Amino acid sequence: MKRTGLWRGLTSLMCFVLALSVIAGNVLESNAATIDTYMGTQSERMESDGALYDKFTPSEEVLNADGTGNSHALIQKAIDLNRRQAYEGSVLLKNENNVLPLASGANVTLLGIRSHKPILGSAFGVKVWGPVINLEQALRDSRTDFAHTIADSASTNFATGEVTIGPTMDSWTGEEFDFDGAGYQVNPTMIDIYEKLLADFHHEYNEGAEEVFDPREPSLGDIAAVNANYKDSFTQYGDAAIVVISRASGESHDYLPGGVVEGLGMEEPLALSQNERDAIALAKECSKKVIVLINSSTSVEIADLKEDPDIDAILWIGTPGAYGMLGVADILSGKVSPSGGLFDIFTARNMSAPAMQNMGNFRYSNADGTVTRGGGMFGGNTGMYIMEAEGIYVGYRYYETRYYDCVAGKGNAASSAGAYASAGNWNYDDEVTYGFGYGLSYTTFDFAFEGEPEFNVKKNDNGSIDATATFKVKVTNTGDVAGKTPVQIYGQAPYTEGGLEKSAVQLLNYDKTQVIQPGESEVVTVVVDLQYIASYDVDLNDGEGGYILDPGAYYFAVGNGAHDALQNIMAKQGMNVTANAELAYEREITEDFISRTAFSVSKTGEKIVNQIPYADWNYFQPGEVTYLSRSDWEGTWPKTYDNMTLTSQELIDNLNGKYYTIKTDDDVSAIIWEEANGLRFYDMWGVDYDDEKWDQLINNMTLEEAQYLATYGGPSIPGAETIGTVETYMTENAGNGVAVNLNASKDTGAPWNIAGSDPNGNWHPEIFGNSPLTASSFNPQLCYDLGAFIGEESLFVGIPILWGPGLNTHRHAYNGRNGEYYSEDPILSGVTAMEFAVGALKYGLIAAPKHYAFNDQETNRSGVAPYMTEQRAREVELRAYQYAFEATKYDTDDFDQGMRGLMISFSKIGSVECTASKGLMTNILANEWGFRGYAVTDIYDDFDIYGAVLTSGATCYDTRGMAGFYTNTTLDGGRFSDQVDGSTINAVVFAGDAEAQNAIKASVHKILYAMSQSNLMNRYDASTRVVKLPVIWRTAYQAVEYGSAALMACFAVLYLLAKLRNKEGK
Amino acid sequence: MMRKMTVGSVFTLIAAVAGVVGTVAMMLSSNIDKAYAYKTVNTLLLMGICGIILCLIAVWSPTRFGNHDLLSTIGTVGAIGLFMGVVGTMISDRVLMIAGLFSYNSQNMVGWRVFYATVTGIAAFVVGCILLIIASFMKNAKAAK
Repeated sequence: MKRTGLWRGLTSLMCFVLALSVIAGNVLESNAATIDTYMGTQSERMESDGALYDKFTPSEEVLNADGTGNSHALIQKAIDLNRRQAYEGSVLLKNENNVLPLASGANVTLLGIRSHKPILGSAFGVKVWGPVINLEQALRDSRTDFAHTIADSASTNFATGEVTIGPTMDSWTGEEFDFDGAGYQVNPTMIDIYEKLLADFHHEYNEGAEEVFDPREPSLGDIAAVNANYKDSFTQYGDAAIVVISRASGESHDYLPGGVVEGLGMEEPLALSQNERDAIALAKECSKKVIVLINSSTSVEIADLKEDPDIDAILWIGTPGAYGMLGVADILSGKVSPSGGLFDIFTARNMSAPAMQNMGNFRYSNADGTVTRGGGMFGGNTGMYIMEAEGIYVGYRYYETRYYDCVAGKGNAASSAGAYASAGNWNYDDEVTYGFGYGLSYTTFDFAFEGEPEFNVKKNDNGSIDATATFKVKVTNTGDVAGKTPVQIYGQAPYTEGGLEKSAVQLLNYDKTQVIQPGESEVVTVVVDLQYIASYDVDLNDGEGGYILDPGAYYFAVGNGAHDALQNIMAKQGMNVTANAELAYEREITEDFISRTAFSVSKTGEKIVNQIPYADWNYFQPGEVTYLSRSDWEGTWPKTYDNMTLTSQELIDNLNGKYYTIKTDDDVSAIIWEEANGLRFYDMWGVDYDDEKWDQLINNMTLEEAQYLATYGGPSIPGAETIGTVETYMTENAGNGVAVNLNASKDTGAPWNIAGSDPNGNWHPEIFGNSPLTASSFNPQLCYDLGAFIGEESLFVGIPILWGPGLNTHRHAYNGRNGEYYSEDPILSGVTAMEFAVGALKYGLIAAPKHYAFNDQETNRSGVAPYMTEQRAREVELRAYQYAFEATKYDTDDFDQGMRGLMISFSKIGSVECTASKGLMTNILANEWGFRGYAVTDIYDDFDIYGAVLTSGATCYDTRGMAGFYTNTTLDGGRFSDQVDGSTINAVVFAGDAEAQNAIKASVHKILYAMSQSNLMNRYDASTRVVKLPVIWRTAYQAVEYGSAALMACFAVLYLLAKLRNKEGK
Repeated sequence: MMRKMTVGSVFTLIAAVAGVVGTVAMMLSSNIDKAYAYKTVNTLLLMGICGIILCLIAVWSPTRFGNHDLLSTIGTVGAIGLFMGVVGTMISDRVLMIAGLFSYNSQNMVGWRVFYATVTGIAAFVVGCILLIIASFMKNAKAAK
């Protein structure tokens, strides 16, 4: 009898084990590509019989003589480039009595816990991975200590409040690298104290914004509790005291107005806490030379530090990345003269920005029961909105325009409305600490226009106008040390009081000098595209809309930032300011020179008209929102629009996703599928987008194949047998490097592949500093070089499409994502992104800037509805994308550079999802700007409006984790089954919908075209195939699966035999 | 001859209760938000109910057919298979959401509620299976005195 129990029990046990192994197998195979990335395994490989890898090759400096990869050279190049990013991008804001640079050999004390644990990356998003060089090492050492300096990061579980801290990788087993640090002696007592304090004041190299913020700076009492005699060390290390103040940025969370822990002596998260002020006071006790480093990707409130005579120097260092502290050390020690300009305006009180009147959590008063659409797989809150009542006056455009009107005595500019730091009426000097584009150097420069600017207007065959102004600026180094400087050209269009809103000053373009020796000069040529000084008028042509270039006096100026340039313009206009009128230029523009509506035809020849009327709340419910106007700063100062009530049915329908109804009975006979003409994808290398071969290729496909390709946009992208493509892992994050370890390459067949046995194999390429640091360099060449290097990385890790960089503009300082986006200025953002993407494409990497568009806050980012005027949308946020996507700088008569990738925002534009906005995705992006490429949604976004998304101009969904198409992941009964209209998506859903089929064809065309321009083509020929490889996790689950099945069968038989024997025994 | 229940039978009965808890939690996690509804929820519900019935059969049949009888063995193994089938589907359906909660999407409060309901369901089914395994090694009926 006992035996039956044993065999029966073992049968049950093996049944359980078998079920577990089957579950494990399903989960592992369904997520194989992602698991490979994180485990460093390779479960499949693209193989070919031919000799490939002849289209894109890394540069010789990262290859060995035999063409194999040189990991040491690659990492060294990354270190050098990150260092350059930091010293070009850091901005010297104050340097009284030339306290900087500090001589080599100086004895310095670092204060503030962030001096010991600075923020190098974001908590999520553009996180810094792997070993780093921290500030102490950069100032003191000459060799890395990668084995003991692994970047860590904090992760908050918002359900439990639990904060988890961990390293970004287990260990560094590779090489160490030599570097030339600043050569300082750094006070070891304070380092030791801060190291001990980290146990209670948790800090990591990667952190994000917090909705209730605490900088977690120890008090002087906390310091004394560790070592009561710490001040004794100041005597020896008192040549200078360097204080680090940090504010983090990251995905998912914002700072919120008033969102600070009580009792810290601060009212806002971007102000300084009492303990931070005490650390600065301590620095004054320590040394007569006090230097403050601002370690942030957003504006920090430092007005009193600027005015404090005992603070000698302030250096903004951004979020510098894994090795960027070397660049910071270069500036401190004078190896390099600083040359950056601020990416955003730094104000005394960030709450003084008009945008801050409407930032945070806002829900329609009648959302419950009215907004019935669900939050989707990403889990967003429904019925959330923000009213961008500041109009076009974002960032410096607001402060500088109001300043201009104050001086001019117009528009009630000097009223108290919006005055936060001013005592009484609004006063620029009180409200603004450092202006946009501002930055100091260790030397001085003289600027002068070299001759008259040259204006050119050319009419193109397609009806568009190319109109440029070329400025030659002679820059002379009038100081004692070598240095470089940005050359920023700003403009002002004529404004009529009460007319179309116009900023008093706006950046039009820029470049940067080379290093200029003392006494020497360089002439920098900056070409301005005049379309960017035109204004968008929604009322033009009886409400049709379009750009206008009002006839009148236009002013152009060079300056050290927007305020300096504006002052120069004002001096030219004879206004009462102290500035150099010689640095401004006036040009009367008449209709004889260029038509007033010349820029209402895009460079592609498309007539520009209103495309996103639903962006404006007043379109649905007129008169309910007042946008800020310079005609009356006081009367239009934004109120807080909370509890807005939905009354327009059209508005409600939009919010409920009623955009598109899939048709069932169209005549689709003219749409060709399954033609079988023999053309294959590998034939398409170098084929122009408009070549009819693309139509022939796509005609080969089945509708189902095309639908798969237009649905599953990555990281794995499905193959299509009819055109000879294979399913493979193609896309990854992020803007600061490709998120795949060297030894986890998806392209191990590449001649330069870094073998798993390479000592540097676990190096992770996400190492660069955050985007504002890049933007602040005002150096297009640096941005190109960063893109090109990440392009080289992509060849090493086998990723042809990068979900990055971030390209939204900063609406305000509280956006937690500001670190991933470049600037508040669209031109600075657009130029930086364009250079990055074109550089990346040199090595076949498709950069897909994100998040198109209007991700103006992380709070409720999953589907929040930002309402604004179309003028605001086009002149600020969209202009950044336009500049990058038109990429006019790289166009030739025979070649249209353009961009090849894009990621769409979670957010809506007004009441319509960006993913489903034909105005945004097709009419503006494709038709006006000529975008031809891969345009993917953000992760799992808008699965419930499938038909609307795939007919809008979006090409596919981000479906991270979903792979194994046609097997594990199918359209039938898959994740798209629940649609807002109750329909179910499947592989034949578009069988009777001609518009959808044509949209699918267009999407496939764009995706395949992007792929054909990428380094994926290194791996394609007629014999390309994917083979499954034995990896430890696959072998393990299969062994358990087969073993448990066999044992279960054996034990079941033994049980039956035992039962029979028992029966016979009876 | 009717036989009395044993400790093993009690374990099996508790497994049936765990199956009920698991099924309820599974249904709950599917109904918190339509974005997180299981695509095959009806099948999962049927599997859960069948598993519970098989557990009950595994409790009853030894009292009728004797210790370690074939029907209770089939019931036990079948219930394990069905419960684990539900668990497998729940995991497959939720793995992306759970990965998001622990990284880029930790503020998804709806997701966390779904997560807790899912974990409760999975835990209940797994506990039920473990009890069934333990019970299957034990006597599940003894002769009435």
